[in-house]
Amino acid sequence: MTDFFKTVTTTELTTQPNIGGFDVLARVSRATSSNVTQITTMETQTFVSKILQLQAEWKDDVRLLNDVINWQHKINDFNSSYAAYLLEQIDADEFDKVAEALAYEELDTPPLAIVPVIGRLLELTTLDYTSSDLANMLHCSEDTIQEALGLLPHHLIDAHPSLIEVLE
Amino acid sequence: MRASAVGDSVEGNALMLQCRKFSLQGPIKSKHTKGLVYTFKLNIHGFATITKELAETSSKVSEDSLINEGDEIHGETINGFSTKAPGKETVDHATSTHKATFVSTRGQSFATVQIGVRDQLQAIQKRIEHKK
Repeated sequence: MTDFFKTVTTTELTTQPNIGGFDVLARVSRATSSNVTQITTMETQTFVSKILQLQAEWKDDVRLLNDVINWQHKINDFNSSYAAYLLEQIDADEFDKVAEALAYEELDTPPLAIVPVIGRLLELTTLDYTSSDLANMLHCSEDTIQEALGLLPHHLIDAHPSLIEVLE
Repeated sequence: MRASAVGDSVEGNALMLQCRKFSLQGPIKSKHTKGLVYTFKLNIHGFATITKELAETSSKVSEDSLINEGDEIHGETINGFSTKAPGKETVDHATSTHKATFVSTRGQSFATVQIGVRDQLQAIQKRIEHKK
């Protein structure tokens, strides 16, 4: 919290005669063992941008987790229909219709575009995916996934420079 | 011929699949076959054996695939597809101690040995470390 806010004293604030309009958030705090009350401030705009940045990150994560749930739901749904087909509750034509309705077209996604998606997916979930699973979930070909996996370690190193030390 | 390395594959007009955990994945409109394909996944002692060879008119998914009748792949995880819905599952003795699920595919069928993405990434990471 202290890294987030800038600490100033009230004296500093009141002894700046040239100060124009300002828009800050102030936090007043005092430790139990101390007699000193601290007022820390932060530009409201900076605070808002940090919140918006966090919101954008969360939105991407939620979208990604939503994709995982939808993919799992679709597989469950399809396997239920397969069970119904095996038990002769529906015939082959009806099963084919279900498959047709659930089928997706393979997209020409550039491998580089899905590298961060796969990286984040592996961080957010603990499932053990195969490349076919990822292709199925991300609606692309397995070749695209394989290319993306080849690029992923370099992406992780770029995103987390501390990994270079680990590698060295 | 029998193969069990990651990436090894078989292709035929019918395959016999054997495993202890069989599931279908989402169906795909495949660019390769230009039509709907049923994707499947075999877990725990998976086998895929060619029972009918690939029709001459079909184009192979992988040039390295095994294509002769009786050719077989074996792996803990096998993924693949068939252009027609897989047939009914039967459960029978696979070894003296365990039973297994048997499923036959129809239409152009492909199956390949895979490993988990996390294991694969670990292997790639190790190769990068080795190069440095």
